[in-house]
Amino acid sequence: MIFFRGKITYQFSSLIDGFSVTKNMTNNSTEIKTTTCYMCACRCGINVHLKDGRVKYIEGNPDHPVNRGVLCAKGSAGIMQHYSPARLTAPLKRVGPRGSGEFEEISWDEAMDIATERLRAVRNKDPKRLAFFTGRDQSQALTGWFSAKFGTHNYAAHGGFCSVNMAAAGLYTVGGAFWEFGEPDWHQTKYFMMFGVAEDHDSNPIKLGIGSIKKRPGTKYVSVNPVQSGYAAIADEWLGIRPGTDGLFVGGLIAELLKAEKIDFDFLIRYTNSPWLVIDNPGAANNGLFARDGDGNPLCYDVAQEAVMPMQVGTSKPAMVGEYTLEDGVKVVPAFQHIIQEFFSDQYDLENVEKETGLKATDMKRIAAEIAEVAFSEEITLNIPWTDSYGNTHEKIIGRPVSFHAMRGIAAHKNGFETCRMIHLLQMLLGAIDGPGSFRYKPPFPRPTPPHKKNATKSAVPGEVAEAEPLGFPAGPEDLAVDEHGEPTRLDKAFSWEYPLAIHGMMHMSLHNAWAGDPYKVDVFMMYMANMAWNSSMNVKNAIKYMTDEDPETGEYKIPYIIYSDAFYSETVPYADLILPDTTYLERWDAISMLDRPIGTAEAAADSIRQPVLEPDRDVRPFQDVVLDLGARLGLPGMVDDDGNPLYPGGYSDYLANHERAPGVGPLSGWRGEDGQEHGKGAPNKDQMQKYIDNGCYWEFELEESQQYNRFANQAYLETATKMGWMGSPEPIVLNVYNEMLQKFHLAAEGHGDHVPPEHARERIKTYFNPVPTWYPVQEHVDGNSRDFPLSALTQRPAHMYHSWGSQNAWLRQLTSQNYLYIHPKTAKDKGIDDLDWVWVRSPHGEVKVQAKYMDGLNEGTVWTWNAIGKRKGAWALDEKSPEFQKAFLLNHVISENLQNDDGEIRSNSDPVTGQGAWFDTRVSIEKATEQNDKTVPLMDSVKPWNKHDRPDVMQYGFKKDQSFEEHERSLGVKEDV
Amino acid sequence: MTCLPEKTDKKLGLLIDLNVCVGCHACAVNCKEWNTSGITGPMEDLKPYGDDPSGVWYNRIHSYEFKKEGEADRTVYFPKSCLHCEDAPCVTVCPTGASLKRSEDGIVLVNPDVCIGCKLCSWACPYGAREYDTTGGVMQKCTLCVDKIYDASIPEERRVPSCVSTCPAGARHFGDFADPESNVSKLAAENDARDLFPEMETKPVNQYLPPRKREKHVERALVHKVNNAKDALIKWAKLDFTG
Amino acid sequence: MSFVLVAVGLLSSTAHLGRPERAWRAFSQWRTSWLSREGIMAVLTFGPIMFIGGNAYLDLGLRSMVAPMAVLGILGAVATLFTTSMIYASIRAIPAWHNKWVVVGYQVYALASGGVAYVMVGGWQHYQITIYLLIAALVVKIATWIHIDRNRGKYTRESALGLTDFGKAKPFEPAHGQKNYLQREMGYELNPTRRMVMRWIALGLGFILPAYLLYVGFPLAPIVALICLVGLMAERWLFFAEAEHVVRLYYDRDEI
Repeated sequence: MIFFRGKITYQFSSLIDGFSVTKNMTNNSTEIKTTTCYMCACRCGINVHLKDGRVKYIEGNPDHPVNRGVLCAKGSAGIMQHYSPARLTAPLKRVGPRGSGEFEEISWDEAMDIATERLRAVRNKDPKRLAFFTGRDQSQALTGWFSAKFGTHNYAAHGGFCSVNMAAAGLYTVGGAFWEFGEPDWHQTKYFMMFGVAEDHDSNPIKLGIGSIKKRPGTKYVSVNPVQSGYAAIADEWLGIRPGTDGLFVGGLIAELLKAEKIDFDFLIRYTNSPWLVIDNPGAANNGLFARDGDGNPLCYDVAQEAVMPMQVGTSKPAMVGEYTLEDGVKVVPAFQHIIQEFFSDQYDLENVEKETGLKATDMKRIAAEIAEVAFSEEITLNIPWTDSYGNTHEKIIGRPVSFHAMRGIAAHKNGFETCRMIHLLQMLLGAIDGPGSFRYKPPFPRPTPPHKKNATKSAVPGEVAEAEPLGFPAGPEDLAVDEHGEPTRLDKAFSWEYPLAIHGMMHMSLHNAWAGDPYKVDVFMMYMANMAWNSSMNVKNAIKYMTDEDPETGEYKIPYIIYSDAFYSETVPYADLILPDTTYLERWDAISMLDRPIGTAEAAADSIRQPVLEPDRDVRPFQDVVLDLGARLGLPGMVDDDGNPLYPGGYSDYLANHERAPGVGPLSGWRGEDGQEHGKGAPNKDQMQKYIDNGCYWEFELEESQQYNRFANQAYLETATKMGWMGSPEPIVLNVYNEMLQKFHLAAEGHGDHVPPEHARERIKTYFNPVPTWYPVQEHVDGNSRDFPLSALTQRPAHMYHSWGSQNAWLRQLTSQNYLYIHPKTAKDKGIDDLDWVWVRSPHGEVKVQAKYMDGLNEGTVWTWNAIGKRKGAWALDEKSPEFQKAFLLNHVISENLQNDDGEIRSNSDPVTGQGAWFDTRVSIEKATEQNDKTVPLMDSVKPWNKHDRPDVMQYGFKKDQSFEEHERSLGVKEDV
Repeated sequence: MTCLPEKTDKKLGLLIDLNVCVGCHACAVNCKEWNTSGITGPMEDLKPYGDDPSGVWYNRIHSYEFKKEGEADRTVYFPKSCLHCEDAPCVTVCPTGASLKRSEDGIVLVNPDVCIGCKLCSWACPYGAREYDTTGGVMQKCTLCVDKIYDASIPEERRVPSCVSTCPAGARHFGDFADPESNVSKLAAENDARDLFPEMETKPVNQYLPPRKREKHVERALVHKVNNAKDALIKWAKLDFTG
Repeated sequence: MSFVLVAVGLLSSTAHLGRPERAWRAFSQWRTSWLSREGIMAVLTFGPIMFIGGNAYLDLGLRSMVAPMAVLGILGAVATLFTTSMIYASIRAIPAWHNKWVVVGYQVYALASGGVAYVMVGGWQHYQITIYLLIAALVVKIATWIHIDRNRGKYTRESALGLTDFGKAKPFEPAHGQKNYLQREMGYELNPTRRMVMRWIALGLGFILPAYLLYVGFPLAPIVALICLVGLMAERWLFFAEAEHVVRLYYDRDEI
């Protein structure tokens, strides 16, 4: 039984309406159902304890590959999320002006009719005029596919403003990346270095991993992070680096290791393109490309044969430096020579690195020495024979137990792509990739580089399906989404010459561009669980303007129609025209698919499902069901049968079990084939969902130990991967010390080839597309404003709210309901700022008044705060006096999605290669506020409060006791027990 | 009965490893969701959606910054719940017998059916382990999940307090400190375990492992074998780096 | 009068309880709990006082029993006071209470204020004793404060955390964003000016002025009693306001 008590009027919450409460239920009546958590992006297995149709307890599933039985604060607070008073209750149609929050409740029939009619009109006119952007969507394999079938390529999820630099740099360099595509070998590593703030994407696996490292004697954990909080707090050494300079630090380490010849040359020769010969023919169309023989094989200079020959791993004895000449007289040098030229430059001298990073040269020297010692003197040898892709057999697997991890702290800078590449280069030079103790891939990774998936370059013609899915991986200038003038064809300008490798799209530009009509206008803007009117947008005021501005000519909104799906009354809901209310994560089917972002570990492939453990008690529908229903109503191919009837009448679970992306390949890899005996590939199995449920809602396929290492060239593994459908063929993946594809872009910018950038984009491409990783300071550190705004400003989410929606959660908001601006006492005192003073934070883009708090464990040139604690009054069903509205703040107010450089040019505040939103390049000044009145500024007007559920003054969530305390207590712990 | 047992058969308690804790609050929240339906629940929340949200928590995660001359500053996360003291002052001051220390395992509990809510126990406890339930008018506290650790319907390896089973970093250990061979006794002995506030003479059962001391860095550097690109190109030219 | 005062005291002690209807249970734990002992002693003391009162009021004529009963009543009162003082003095977590001065103090303040009350109701015949008692109370109170002030700062946050070898600790992120029960209950911050003002009020009105007025033979004894009462209320207020609890070391105090 649930108790809710109002302090003044006793009132049962509507939450318990419809539940008959049975007394004297015993503990045994608790039912346990497995499913997958969705309190953040980590995707842990959970056991949900249910009693009387209510959630009693949620714990980690001990067998689950992601979390092994543990569960973080978010997952443990799932009960309060599920019963949040901010839950939407029925479809809503806007009746007041946008932003007013005036809605009328409508039926699902009406809602679906409206949406269908709108979308049909768009599709028949010009499918690209539907922009479909999703937030922390875990069904991107479905939503992306829907977009392609609809015919629009204006689709993306939130990766573009989260961590795409990490994904792109990894996938284009080593065929995998951190988090979902790879992880440190937590159990064997002897030296672990983690970069950056806000590294909690892989919440519980990281905690499990760091915990195991910290308990293992002789293992060192180094944190490179401007802020000593969270994981950095327990590091054995903390390097409080200046934000945005990590790439230079890594480059400095690389230079040290090169100068000391502490490099794994054998690894470089076997598994990377270091020895491959690169054409040295400045000005020519082939300059910087690999020299190849007639069959396309790369060449090397064999020092034993003293001749240029096709590179044969295991046989060739290639030179790593030198200038050679091909038969046709063309000059060539080994790719590795380019590495030498880059890293022996003055930029990477540790004295210079010290100046930029704020780290001491002596410390960096020592760390380089420590890394070299662990990599080369403490190598791990496993007596496991294996055969490489080139036919060489090996008796042992050698590991260099130095590992790295990085995520958003590195990624969210305008030099983030290069910094990530730099880390991967360091790994390659150390031979510390996919060996025991180093970074290891998670299947289905590694994947070929560049990845083999073409993205749609334009939308379909009216009424047709798109040529490909919206998001893919360009392999060269020919794959860009640009028109005949080289101008963007996508609304967000992803895959254009401005942001060629924006492989996750650029959601952070989409509202602006739709408002500006640049490159064109849209008719319908559809969003899913993305809080674009608040913390998910840089510069909130602008985001709101984009959604509410009217076109003076037509009197219509500049963004004419907004459809939004969310489970909760967020700040964005009042700005939509049609609300399609979603369920909570405990009321739905989902798949964490191998086609999307699977949950495997270094040892095993895995995927999982979510099953509904409770029936919705409101008029809401899972968004995935709605997408399939919309597709069927629109008659989209793949969503209807030949007679036009829905192909998946059973909704998302029907689709998950029966949809085939390619013959034998579906969303779920486990228990395929009619009898459920096949894994990876196989015919659909109608009992597949039940099989998952019977197995705890996940599927795990453990690799043989001999297939767990060196997978880029491990023949047995590559064959397994091909058989499972993870790869097209068992070809080895050559790691890119030198990135030829980036050079192709560089050449295009020099005017070579059929696909060249327009004049205005050429300098940028030439500057930022280089085959060898390099470091450059970001604009805000060097431009005209850099002196006036001397401090870097960072945000991170608290671990108990990372990737989560904490403010509405009765338990989590007790932990953090106000954020402070943390500042180093020395920096503060220089400005006359006392602990807990209110201060103005200013940037060229805006100002915000916040309460400052001293923190010693902080880079002196940096201030930081918890993100998204501040909320807009009226949202999330919170009382209007809540600290989230009055005292907490968003730093977003001083960040802009557009930046002007010293030449007056306006560019997105994004990485020039991947379009990653550069949140962490923000620079501010601070000043003590004259008015110390305990209130943040700006305090935006309230949105209309949400009052569909009671909000008790006193809440007692719990189940009525079956016994008196004494009876119960005496029954516990007879002496011989435990 | 508020007489402390002369000796308990077991001394069940927690060993909390500050060297590993990252301050994620998982233990605190999982404790709350288990115990709000547990033997002494519910654990109320006051103004849960209001201007001053607070509530009953059996476990709270503090954090501190330590500054020491000649050492780098450090941040320490510090979970704190009832320490189930051997000489528990909260038990002996209780006028009603609601506070008790179990003779079989040493767990300190409050009987909510007997407690009169005089709050004296919360004043007697130096550690702030006692909470007050305004609705019930009684005191509440960590039960060491007594209703979980003895529940035979739970798989044996999961019969540990919820803060322990949920801790992602593995910073929390549960066991019998009376048994020198137990995991917690051994870890405590090997790792310089600490009592909180020894001056209070409460003999806490729970122990804390301190953060790992940061080593004093000895300057060292790799010997450069080449100093510039030119040297490297000459020295490494045509070398066979294979094998 | 004693009868009324004791009855009011007992009843009011149940007012701050979460579950006043269960107050009777508080008599059960006399073996360990000073609070329980206090309750029992207070009730026991009730007996002789009720006897004397009843005898006088109902005119039972049991005069020979009054003297022994009065002795019992006085002993009971002393014992009750002792148990009361021990409730506080036994709490190690509050250094301002955990000392012998609190025990001594309870007795002298009671005797002195009782003396003033006696002058008010019983006349001036032994008022010099009351003056001596007031002076004794003054000395004890000053000694108590010297003790408190000297011992302030004895306990540190580092010791509370069991981490005395890591340097100086200061709070970083609080456990919870808003104040919890402990901070509300034990977080009173006494500012030093107010402390001094209240101390002078307590000393001046509680002891010095009543003693002086008695010495000069101020005619209105009830006024003297009232002044003394005000002073003692200030003294009581300080007793609780200065009772800094060591739990604050985990929150906002570096030392207690």
